[in-house]
Amino acid sequence: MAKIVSIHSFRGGTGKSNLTANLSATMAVAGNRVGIVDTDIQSPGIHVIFGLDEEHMNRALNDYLWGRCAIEETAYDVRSVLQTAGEVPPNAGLYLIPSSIKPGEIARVLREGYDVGRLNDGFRELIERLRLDYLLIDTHPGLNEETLLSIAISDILVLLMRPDQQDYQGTAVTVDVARRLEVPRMMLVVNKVLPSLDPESIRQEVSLAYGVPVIGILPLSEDMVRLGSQDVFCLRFPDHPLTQRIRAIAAQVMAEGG
Amino acid sequence: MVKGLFGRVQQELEAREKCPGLSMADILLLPDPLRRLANWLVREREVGLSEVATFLEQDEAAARATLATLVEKGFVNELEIRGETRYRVRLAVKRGREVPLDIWQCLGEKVEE
Repeated sequence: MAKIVSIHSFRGGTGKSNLTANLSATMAVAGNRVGIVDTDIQSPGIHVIFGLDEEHMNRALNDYLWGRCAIEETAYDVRSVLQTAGEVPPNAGLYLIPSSIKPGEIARVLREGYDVGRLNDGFRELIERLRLDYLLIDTHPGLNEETLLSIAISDILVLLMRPDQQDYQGTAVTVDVARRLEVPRMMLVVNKVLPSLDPESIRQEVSLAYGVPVIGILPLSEDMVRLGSQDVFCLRFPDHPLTQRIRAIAAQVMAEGG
Repeated sequence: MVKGLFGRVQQELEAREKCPGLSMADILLLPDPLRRLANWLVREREVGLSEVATFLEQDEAAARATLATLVEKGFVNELEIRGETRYRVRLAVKRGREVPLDIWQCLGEKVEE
């Protein structure tokens, strides 16, 4: 049975898209069929990490939401990025459903809204038609309609935060909302932690504050910053310590979903 | 209840802002048993009465009464499919932001320049 995993943070700039891209690639390398939907319709970005640009994006989630095509027609097979990981199991799959980066399309969504029910149907259709093991949803930060829907239908919610007071407060709100939406499994990842801080004490402090397990503490990485979303970090730097930590997070997500 | 002109304006605004159907924010405001059912319906999308009864751990008559509250509010549609009554959640359309159309047009043109 396929699992829906939402990666969300209350505030922007936490590294959601990068974590989503890296988790999805790691899960695909492990032999899973993985889909990623960019529901950050207002400020899409994850396509950049997979090397898609406006020229090569004929269709996007927006086209499906306007009824111009079936949801699977907006899926890009991005398995080619896995080649750098060496031998990949033949059943592995990696698909990206981007949001449009055309200004007119973004403006239309903001101006006219869209059918949330259709988005919900689209998630299920994607799982079925692409025979996915995991559907990862990269959300818009904060709490809006599509984010609440993503949280509500998730089997697993991965909440990302930085060690910052604004993030602490916002995450508390999100945890509360997710509990009211009865998400079966919630996990926390703390990102951009200064290397001089003790990760274990942060883990304890955060998990105690929210009553949610912390499945990863990721240090602020100069190498990640330098890469600047030009590639999937785990694939570019397979032996990097940060890659090991992201793999450990992916393993915990897969253990929950398995 | 606010009366007079201000009250009427407020009512109009509320009516304009609320699209028919269940918004995710509505779910958060429902009382516990209904919220639980609405959450489940969003996940399942379409179910039969017996499935609802099993989920609620109620008999079918009680489950139908619980569903009726959501149907009345316009959150759930009751459908007849091949002789069976099915219940499908009706999610509200997300409204666009009400700003002068020219702004979006100008924005699009500006960025495309």
